[in-house]
Amino acid sequence: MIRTWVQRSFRNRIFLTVLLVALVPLLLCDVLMTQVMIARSERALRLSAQAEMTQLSGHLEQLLTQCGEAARELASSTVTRSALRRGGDDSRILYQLLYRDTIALRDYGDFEVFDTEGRCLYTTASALPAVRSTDWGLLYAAKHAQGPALRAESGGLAGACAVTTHTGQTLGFVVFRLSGDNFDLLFSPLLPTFDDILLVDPTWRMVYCTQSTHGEDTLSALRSQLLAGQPLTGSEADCGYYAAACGQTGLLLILQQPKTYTAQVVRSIYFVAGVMGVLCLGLCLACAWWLSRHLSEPVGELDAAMGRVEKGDYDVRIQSRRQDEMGRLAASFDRMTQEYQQNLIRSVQRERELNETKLRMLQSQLNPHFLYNTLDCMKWLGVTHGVNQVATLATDLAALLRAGISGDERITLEDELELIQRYLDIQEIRFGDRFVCELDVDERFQYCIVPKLVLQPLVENAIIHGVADSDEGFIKLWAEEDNGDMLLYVSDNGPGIPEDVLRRLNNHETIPGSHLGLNNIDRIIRLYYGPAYGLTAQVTEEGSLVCLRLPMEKGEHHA
Amino acid sequence: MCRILSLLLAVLTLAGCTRAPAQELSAFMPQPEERLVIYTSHKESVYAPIIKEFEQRTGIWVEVQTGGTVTLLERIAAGDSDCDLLFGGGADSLNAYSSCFAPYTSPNADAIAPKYDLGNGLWTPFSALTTVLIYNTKLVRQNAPTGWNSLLDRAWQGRIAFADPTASGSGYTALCTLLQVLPGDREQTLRAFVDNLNGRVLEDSGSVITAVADGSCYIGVTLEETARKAVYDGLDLAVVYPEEGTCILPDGAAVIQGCAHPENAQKFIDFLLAPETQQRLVTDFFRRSIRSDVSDSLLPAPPALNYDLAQAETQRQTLLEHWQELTGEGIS
Repeated sequence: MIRTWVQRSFRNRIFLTVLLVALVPLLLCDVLMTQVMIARSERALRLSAQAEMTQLSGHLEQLLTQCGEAARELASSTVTRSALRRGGDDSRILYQLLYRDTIALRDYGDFEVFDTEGRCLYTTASALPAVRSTDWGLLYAAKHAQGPALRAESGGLAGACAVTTHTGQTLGFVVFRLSGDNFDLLFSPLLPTFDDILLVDPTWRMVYCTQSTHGEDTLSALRSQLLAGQPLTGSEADCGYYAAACGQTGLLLILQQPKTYTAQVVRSIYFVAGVMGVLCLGLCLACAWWLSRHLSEPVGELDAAMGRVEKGDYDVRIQSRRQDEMGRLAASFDRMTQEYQQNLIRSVQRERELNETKLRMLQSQLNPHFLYNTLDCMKWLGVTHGVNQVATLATDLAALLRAGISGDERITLEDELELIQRYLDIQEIRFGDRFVCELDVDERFQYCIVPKLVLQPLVENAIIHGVADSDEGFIKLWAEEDNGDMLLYVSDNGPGIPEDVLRRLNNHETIPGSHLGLNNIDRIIRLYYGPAYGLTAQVTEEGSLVCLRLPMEKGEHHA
Repeated sequence: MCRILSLLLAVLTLAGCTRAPAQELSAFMPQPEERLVIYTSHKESVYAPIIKEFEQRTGIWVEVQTGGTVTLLERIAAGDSDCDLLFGGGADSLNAYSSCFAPYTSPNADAIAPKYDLGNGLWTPFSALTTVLIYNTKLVRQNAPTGWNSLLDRAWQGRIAFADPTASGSGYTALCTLLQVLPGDREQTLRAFVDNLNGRVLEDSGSVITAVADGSCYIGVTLEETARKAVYDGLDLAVVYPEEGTCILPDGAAVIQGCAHPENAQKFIDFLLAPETQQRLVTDFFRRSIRSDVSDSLLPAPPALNYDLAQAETQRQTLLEHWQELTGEGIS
């Protein structure tokens, strides 16, 4: 559909080309810019997140390893073993050992020693913690693990190492606890202001988070997303999440990083881009429409004018006011038609002069008096021998001949009608009484001037193409006045005029074959009096009707 | 022309969609054999510590969906759930939907006290729930309620907090116990009880605690677990074990027929029956263990009652309709 629309006019082609050339690169830039901007920002965030994560998980792993090592050393110390074996909570040496071995780590956590009942005997914290169950949670894990075991606890992380005898019997546990405050101390120097950290255990249950209010909600959303295999977007879509394993500890760090382009900002960007796109579309449409119109309008005018010239209307002028190539083209067209029209007039004039010259030559070659005398002689021979028809024929033919070669090119309608009557007399002898011709011209037209022998071809046409094959033919000739012009009508009750001939006749085009007489009359009249005059024809219910329009000119005596 | 246009459109679309891929997460995702989906009707304070310990011991990732027992069971019965294990729900509900469960008998089941229903091997009991009476210790100074009979005492008329048996499972159990325990004509007992309630019921068993604690009711009927927790939290309440005896009904867990992770579900049931988990019921959740080797010594032993579960189930429809008629009368 677009293809046909484009091919129909070169204006459409200009319109579409301008539109595409202006709009497509713009839209492409619009979309690409937005996408590249967002992608770049996401990439930058991701890289910074990776760097942060490497640093944070390195620190955490180092701390946990150190704590684990310290706990393991305390657990394997004979001081611890003997103190636990002895029972009680009053071993000064164990306290000395506890404080000495953990001095570098106590900023980040507390160390404690538990007995097999889960009671805390020694602690570096200010208050003794509650009794722990040995078949649940941390101590259960420590009992069943080879090295230090880690467990998430409410408010932080705890690790424990079982104290065993050489035979494998459990004597107690060395426990270290890292609370939220300890993690704050560890992470806050490394963490940018707006980023948050979630520390989770291997099944993604909360150990610690820097944003205590939404941490649980965020983590449960992240966990569901991970299990469903969806990308991590959290409970709100305005943050990016990056997970990283924390060395061999089994723990994971999840970094929550606010997006530079939040969903709202992205929506605004898309909105602005969309509005810009629509504005540009509007502008491009207007420009493309104006430009295509500006370029195609003079071409369209030229095309229409050319069409009229083809139909023979040489009066057409474009008269463009434009100063550009189109204006010059229009002016050239005007000049061309004008010259062509003048050439035509000149050549018709020459033709006419030529014809007159030819006629005069003929006239000079053939003495008309000789023809008259011969026809007169034929007439008297007819009368003498009683052949009246020969006499009539000779008389009429002589009259027509005289009129044809007489010097006057224009005669009164009365004289023209008399010539017609003579022509009819001849035709009556030829056709007998197979048709009737009625000449019904009002008295007031009698002295109007018409070109000589202009009606004879019309009557001849009516006889030959109209009533020739009929037995009751009827031809009527009459005159009317219309806006100062004289209309001469010839009607017949024949079969009418073929549609093709009728169309060409009314469009003043050349008719091949017969009807040449009508065509000549039309051309002569139009050359004489201008394009407003001439011949028209129509088909009526009875037959055909031919109308000849002439200017009303009265003869000198009756002007 | 159409080809060019469609090419441009494709370029635009491509430009619109091009984004850097998000972080690769497959390394963190658990394998299918490391997963377990649990539907539970327990409170978070009950299921969360158990599931957390289970996850830490086994490394299995548990996904939890919560909801009412009947709602969850209906979803499971509809067959479009991803549930592996149902955790929670009274014996009556579990029996009604036993066709949805895959048979499993835990190696730990030998330790279950013989008085508990083993669910025909289709579900496994987890803990035992007991119905008790409570009263506000500040408002009730003398003649404290002693048993089910006190609920018909005119002294408490309009002051009894009772959960609507049409909406609450524990409310219905309490009503059946009342009717089975008290001597005499059941119809008369029911009418007398409704009359004593003044037609007023609470929407669930949790509201009973609130109503008695804030003084809008003097005495109430609720689950032992809820009542003891409230006392532990320091509310002015006292728990009364009815002298006529009270019912002890187990709740349970069941592996779902045709589930995706049956082995993990079985591991979870084994863990539920493990002695340390059962011990936790008593010490942390104020529930009764179903293991014969776990001592209930922290909780007083209620006078036992031979509660007729089958009768309670068969009469459910008629009894509740009758109840609604009577309470409707009471209100008017």
